[in-house]
Amino acid sequence: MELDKCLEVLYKGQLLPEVTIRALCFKFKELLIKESNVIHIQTPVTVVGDMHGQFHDLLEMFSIGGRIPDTNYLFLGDYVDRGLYSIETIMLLIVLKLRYPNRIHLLRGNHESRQITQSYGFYTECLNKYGGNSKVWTYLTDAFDYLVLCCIIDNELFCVHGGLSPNVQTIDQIKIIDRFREIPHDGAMADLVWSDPEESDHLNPENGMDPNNLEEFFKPTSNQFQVSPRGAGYTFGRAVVEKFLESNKMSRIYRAHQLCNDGYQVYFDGLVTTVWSAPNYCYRCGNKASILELYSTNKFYFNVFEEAPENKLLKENFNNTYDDSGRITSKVINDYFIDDGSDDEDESFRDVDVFSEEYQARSASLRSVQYFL
Amino acid sequence: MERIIQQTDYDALSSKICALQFSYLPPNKGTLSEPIDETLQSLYQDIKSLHFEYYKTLKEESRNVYGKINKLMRNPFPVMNYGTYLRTLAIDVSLIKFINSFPIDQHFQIVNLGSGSDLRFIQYLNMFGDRVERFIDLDFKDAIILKQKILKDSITLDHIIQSYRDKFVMLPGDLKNVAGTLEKLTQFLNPKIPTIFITECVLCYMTENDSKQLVSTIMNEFPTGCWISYDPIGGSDVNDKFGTIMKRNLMDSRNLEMPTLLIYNSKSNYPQRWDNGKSEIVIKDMWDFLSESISDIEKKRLRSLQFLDEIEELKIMQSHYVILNTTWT
Repeated sequence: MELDKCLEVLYKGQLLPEVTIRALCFKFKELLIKESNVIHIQTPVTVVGDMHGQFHDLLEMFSIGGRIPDTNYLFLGDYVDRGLYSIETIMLLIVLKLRYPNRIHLLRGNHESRQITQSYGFYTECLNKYGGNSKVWTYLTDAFDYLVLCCIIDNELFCVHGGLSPNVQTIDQIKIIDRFREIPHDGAMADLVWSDPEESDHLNPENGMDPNNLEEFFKPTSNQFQVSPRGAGYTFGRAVVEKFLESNKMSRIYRAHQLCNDGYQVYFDGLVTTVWSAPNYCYRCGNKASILELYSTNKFYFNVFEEAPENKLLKENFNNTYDDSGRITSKVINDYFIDDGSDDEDESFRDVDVFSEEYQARSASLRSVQYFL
Repeated sequence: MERIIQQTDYDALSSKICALQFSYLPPNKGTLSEPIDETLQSLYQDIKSLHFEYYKTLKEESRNVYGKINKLMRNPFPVMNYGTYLRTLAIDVSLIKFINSFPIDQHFQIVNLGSGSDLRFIQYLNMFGDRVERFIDLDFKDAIILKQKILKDSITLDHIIQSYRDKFVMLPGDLKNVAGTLEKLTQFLNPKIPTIFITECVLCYMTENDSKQLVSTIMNEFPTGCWISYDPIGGSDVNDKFGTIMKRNLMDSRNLEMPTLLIYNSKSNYPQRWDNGKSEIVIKDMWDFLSESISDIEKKRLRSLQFLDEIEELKIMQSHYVILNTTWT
């Protein structure tokens, strides 16, 4: 299996055959099974946050941050869901990992899960691009089980997708987790991919600080973990972070998981930073994205970027799809755009359950950015 | 252009059907603070069956339109269902509050401008019966004709229409033609009793001048009135690109223009059109509405319907939609 050949195909945004995906996932799992839940790497490395299937922005990111293997990368998870190109995104990253295993590291995000990908687009994308009988989603979600949970850079920078857990005081406790499974609803593994730092919005003038409310202004974040508004994981304040860093002799935490309008967000005077790498999230939010270029432990740069101009040309892109018998068919995917005025009389004649998976999958390719109109 | 604007009704209807299908609507008991909650519950009693009946009949009446709406029922993301829930509730809460502010026997009128496939007339005529002297749905001719056909074709719905035929009026019209619109409305409305005007995602498709004219002319013509308006706002913060991107997305994908999205782009300037120095204006964005008006117990129920994995996207979207309530005498 020539990985370079695969890369050539993938960089063009084309799909690999299902049988190739199966083989690659197998190799991928083989590689990752040897890894501890916590990997150790050294600077220089560029840290990347959520990409969420925004493939063109991933390519844009590589053109800004440098291609692999010229640059080392650590991805913090959430490769799939929401964007329209989750498959292209994750396959490129998997093959890059197989081809350059020491140049790229992939952490697990809360979206690398069977449950959530059924609601947020990845599952329907797989059905749509590979047909109703395909097992692509299964191969990939099985592979997700092998992704590592955290990374420590230069022995002092702790990297994880979400955040801290009340069930984890030391790194050793993370190492003994059995990660080779679907992300559970609660417990240490769930918390690591779901938790968030506590907001102290009132300290950020951009968030409409109320100058009359000094009490709010000086309110510290709590000493304990709090229940998260997300319904999974916890929120954690400065005191919790300080304790964790001190116990484990580390200096900072880098994480992703939360949308940042400016591409990154600093908490607790730099103890925790969120890196967010999906610009114009969901093609709607208008946010910037960033990657964190770490030259050494204390020399770093947030490289901020915006949506790739290619996104505006998506309606002219060609993408291959596979029909049910495995043959490639070329079709123009109007990914964003409703076929205004097209006669889909066939569609309307059929008595289709619009909430069925088949319907959703078929519709996914005609998906547009939704608003309340 | 008219057809493009008209078709936004398909988005609205498909969103509403989704929200009903996924049980966001109707809200549960205890969603709002008493006693308005009871009224809301009664109002929404048959909301699901009414809409599903309408949708079913639509399929038989126009395969083309049904097909288009069907296409829109894709990936019912939680953020969309939340938004539809909030939009529907906010308008009805506004209506109920206005009606409650009138003296108990006071008769009144309701005008739904750009009504599309909205079925509120059934709910309000059922609920407030005698007190509603007139309920008018006004929209483009093609939309009105289709709606009339659907209502007539459905035995259930036709029966309802017949029982209210002296109160419920469907008017074809073009809101850009203010004089013509007013002429039609005044034929059926009594300026001596209060009239509540509703514009639900309507003004946002009009030019600044057209919408200004429409509002001020109506406010002049009807000495006692209320207005409920729901629209997107582009956002006034210098770092806020939501509006710019929304404009671009809608233009690129469907040639839909939003002429005032970046003009009336905040809670402070959106109400300008209704501000004549004497009108009372209250404006909220939908995130405010969710935070302040929906009870914790209802929020919990909403969370249980579909897994909403993050709040940020919901907050961004809902902060860019507003509900305005105004009264003038």
